[in-house]
Amino acid sequence: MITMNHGIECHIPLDLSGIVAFSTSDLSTSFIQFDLSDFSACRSQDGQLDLEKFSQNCKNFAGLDKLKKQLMAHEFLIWQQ
Amino acid sequence: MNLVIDIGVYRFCIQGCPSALYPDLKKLYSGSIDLHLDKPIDFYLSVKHTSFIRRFIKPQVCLDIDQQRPFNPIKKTLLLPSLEWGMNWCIASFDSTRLLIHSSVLVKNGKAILFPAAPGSGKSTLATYFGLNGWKVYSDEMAIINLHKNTVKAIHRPASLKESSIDVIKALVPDVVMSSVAKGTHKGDIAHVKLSSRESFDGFDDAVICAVVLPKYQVGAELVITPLSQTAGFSRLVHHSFNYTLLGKVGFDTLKTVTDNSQFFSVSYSSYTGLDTFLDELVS
Repeated sequence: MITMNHGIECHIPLDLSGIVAFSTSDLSTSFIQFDLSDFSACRSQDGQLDLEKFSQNCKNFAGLDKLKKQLMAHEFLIWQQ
Repeated sequence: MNLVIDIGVYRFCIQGCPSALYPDLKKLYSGSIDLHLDKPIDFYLSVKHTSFIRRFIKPQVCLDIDQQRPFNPIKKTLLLPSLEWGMNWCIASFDSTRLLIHSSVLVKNGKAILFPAAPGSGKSTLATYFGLNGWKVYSDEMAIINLHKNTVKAIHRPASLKESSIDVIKALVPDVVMSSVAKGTHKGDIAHVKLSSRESFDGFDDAVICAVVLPKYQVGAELVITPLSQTAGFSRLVHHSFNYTLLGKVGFDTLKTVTDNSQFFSVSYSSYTGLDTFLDELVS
């Protein structure tokens, strides 16, 4: 389960290139760019990620761990067992 | 003399406008001057002399806005660009009912491309060139985005050209309608170009934003088009926004909508050859 920190509203753009986090307390905006190169096979020709392929690949794809680590490195997500 | 300039979304009353300025204003805003006099004024801009002596010796004037004096006195010969900057300042400072981004806006087929950039990046020259070659220029300075929507509004304003851009546009479009050149502003020599008649502007409906292109003019550069991620694009739009922070969550939600419906690119160029094809493809 992944839990967002309190007071932050998040947006993941449709190309899944990162997270835009908006703080409702101080109205600041932060950006985290992902390295989604491991998911390049899931991209269609126009550069958008195919969400269905992405979802299927995430189930057994090593890139997902990498993605989680990127998120947790920013202390943006808390991994709960 | 007093006159009203109606630019569509906003209405300005210019008080104490020197008669020497009127020919240039008429050239740039014909059809929008003293239009809809029954409607309320959004901003009052008053041209005032600083002292009796400075009427005659090195003449200078002040531009008061709604009875405030936010700017230093200026040479009388620089009044036109100062008036234009004053109008920009009014919009950027006081309109919190729309999201404002420092950007030129080109529209074709009902689709809008934003060109957010810092001053000196060539966005006004680019907008002027394409505006005189089949595109609609919704603004050369400011994208006015409707809140919670992915649409942008048009304003009836001339484009502002600086320094060598003036001669570039004159050479490319010899019959361009241009104001007299104001020499020696803090941005260099400035001239303004009329891009649309009032009649055609009245048909400029809100346009759907489909792409954001970050332009960078570089002398001698080949055309290089680099796709950007939507996250990077979101970041650039926040950076170039006038009132994103002021709008708070509404601004965030509006940019979410714009970002999810737009492609993002950075473009380096030194000529418009090739760039025109690329832009046409974005709105096809």
